[in-house]
Amino acid sequence: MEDLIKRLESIFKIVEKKRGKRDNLWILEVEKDSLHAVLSYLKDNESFRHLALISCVDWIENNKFQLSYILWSYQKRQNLIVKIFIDRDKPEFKTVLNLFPQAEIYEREIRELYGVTFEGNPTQFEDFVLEDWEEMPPMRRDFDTLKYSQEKYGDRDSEVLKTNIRKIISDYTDEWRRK
Amino acid sequence: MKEKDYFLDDRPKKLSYSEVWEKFFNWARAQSLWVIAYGTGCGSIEIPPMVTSRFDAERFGVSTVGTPRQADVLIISGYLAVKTLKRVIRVYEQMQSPKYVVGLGACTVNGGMYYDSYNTVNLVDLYIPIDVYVAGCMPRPEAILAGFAQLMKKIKEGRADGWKQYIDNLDKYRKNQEKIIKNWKIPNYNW
Repeated sequence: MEDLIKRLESIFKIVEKKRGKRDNLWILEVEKDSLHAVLSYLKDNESFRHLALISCVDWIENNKFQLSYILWSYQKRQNLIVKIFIDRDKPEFKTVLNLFPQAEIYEREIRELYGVTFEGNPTQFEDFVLEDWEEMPPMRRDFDTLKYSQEKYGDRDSEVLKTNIRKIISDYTDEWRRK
Repeated sequence: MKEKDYFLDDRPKKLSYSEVWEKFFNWARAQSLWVIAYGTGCGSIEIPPMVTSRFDAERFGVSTVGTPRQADVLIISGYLAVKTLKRVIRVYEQMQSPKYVVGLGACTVNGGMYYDSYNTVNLVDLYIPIDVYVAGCMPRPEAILAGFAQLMKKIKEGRADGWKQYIDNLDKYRKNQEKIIKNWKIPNYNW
């Protein structure tokens, strides 16, 4: 796997490289403008034909979003994670739909949960998991899920809940009979 | 056997014909509960072992059917997202009265481990009436059978009246439903 990293380093600028928890897993950070070139090179010349997942991480301290493209090679049986950082204030990136058609659904999910838009993806604004969502994208770290849940769905310590629990207890202990 | 077991302490009651028939109907209803095969969350994986040969719920008259029109019982099996709640309301309203709802798992009682989730309804009781809760995360098929025994008992005693409450307090339930379903695109009355 080290040979592959060396070959890549001779062509592209690798910002950071790190071995993962296994021998056949490496994590590379590349410049965001060269991502398409790197993915294209890996797909055509190094047999990394399978895009397993695109994931997103919200680094609110650095004001960045991290996009990770997880690749798998069936011939070499190796994993490669190519990650980039984009600006949190301007969450936009270009789609990789021309390289991997399965990216369409991953990008749609990231658009919904993190609000990162992908230029060139035709279906990204359709509802995926959340229907009629009007708030901030929920997986961003400044979204207060507990507060939202209490306001929208009712508090855990509310009267309704206490009646519910009383109902359960009375059902199973036949308390209503004694009244 | 004690002497007291041979006679009744209760005062004599005046029952009208309709009350007698209602008691008879309730007895009959409790013997054949048909469950609609609709799973909303992780608990739906506990339903197949319950109805198949190992736990064999059919010996109690509990069987599964494919359409809401034929069903008596709707099981809310686990967490309920807003997206699922829309479908649950449609299914519940299409069912014929009398109909009963069983809430399965901790999520239906108070949100369970998803109490702070942006997408899980905490108190299902606000949106549709629930007759019997089965607590646990997840309840085993034995617990679900115990819940069904509880439901049968409640039906026989005439206390499983969630569907009557839904008809009486329809405006209240609609208001709660419309509070969390933003674009109400489903028909106002589904029955």
